[in-house]
Amino acid sequence: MNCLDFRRAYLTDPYNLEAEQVTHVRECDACARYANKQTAADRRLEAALRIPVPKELGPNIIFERSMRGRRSLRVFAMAAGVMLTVAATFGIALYGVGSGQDFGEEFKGEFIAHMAHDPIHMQSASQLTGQQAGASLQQVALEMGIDVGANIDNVIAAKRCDLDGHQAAHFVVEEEGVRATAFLLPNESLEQSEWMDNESGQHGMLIPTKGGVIAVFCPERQMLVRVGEQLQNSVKWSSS
Amino acid sequence: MSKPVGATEMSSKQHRFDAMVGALTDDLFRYAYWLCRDKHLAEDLVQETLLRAWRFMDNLRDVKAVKSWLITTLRREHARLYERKRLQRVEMEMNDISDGAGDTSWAAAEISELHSRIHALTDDYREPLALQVILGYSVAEIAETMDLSKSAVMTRLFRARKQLLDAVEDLPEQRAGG
Repeated sequence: MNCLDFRRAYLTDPYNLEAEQVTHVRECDACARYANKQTAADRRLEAALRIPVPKELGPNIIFERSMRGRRSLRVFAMAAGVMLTVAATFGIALYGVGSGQDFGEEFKGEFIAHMAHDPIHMQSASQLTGQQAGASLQQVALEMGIDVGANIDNVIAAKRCDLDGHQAAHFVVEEEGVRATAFLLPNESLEQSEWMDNESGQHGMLIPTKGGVIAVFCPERQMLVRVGEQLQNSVKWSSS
Repeated sequence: MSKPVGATEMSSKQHRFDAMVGALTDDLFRYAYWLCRDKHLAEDLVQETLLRAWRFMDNLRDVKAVKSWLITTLRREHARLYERKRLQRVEMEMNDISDGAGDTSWAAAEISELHSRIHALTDDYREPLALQVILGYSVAEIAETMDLSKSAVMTRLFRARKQLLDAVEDLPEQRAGG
């Protein structure tokens, strides 16, 4: 190894020297001096990168924040209940007040983000079969008062998830190496069907039904439409 | 209807969560800061990432994978932030990231100068450096995280470090006590 190669390697990754580099620095005084000088400079660089961290940052704040969100929803529900009672007393007709919340733009992104972060999407079907056994789609759906029928094939994973305060049966279907992901959200409402085109590599459909919302995502449109229609025809909600 | 979570169960979950991510939070913030170069945005990114970790905690069984999961999640949150809000990458005034101790020593001046130089690096150079120096990532791990070849990562690390360490050399050399 020559000195130029050593110095380049040292500037690239001083933390993981290869055997050849270690041998060179032991044998070459000039490069040994260079390495010492760069190490000292690197320490100053590291000190600069390790900026102070805000004291209030930490897991406790995360926990408080997640609970704060749920309290806000309960306050909203109480206020809505009071409003309805007052309206009924005065015989006022309220239009457009439902039991669920319509999804805004932000929540559509929540599906994509959830898929991106949920570890079941980072594993192969063979890994999932072993680890996710015990929670079949029927079981998960039943717990949530949803009847998915008997015709949903090739389900490789199913679980109950919290999507920013909204409960969903989340499952993955795989056919010939292509995965479609579906979320069944009971007691949610949507004014009309919506498409999402190529959000982070996924196409998506949000399907309103009486009793809940079905969301399906897939990188292939044909499979997306097929799974979406299948669910729309077979899912029954206990509230409807 | 789901069973309400008892206080004991919640406390146990929080202990497990603290054990899982507690040691990583500080470096996660530092990495987020150098990614977005804004202290408040970095806090939001870390909060969002840890909130997702809280939700998915039961699926994150492999402790070794937690760090890589957190970084991947944070990077995606950062990318989503720009997609959603169409934030423009403009020259930002460097937020005050000093600890406010009012240290006027040469060391503080050097740190401040280095901060400016690191801020001035392009994203392509600054991010792999942050992954290597703050989070201890190897070249291979950086390549996997950023979806780059190893040679591309090595080139970026070399150029970033060369730019910064040349700058360190330019600073007047003063030692404490003389």
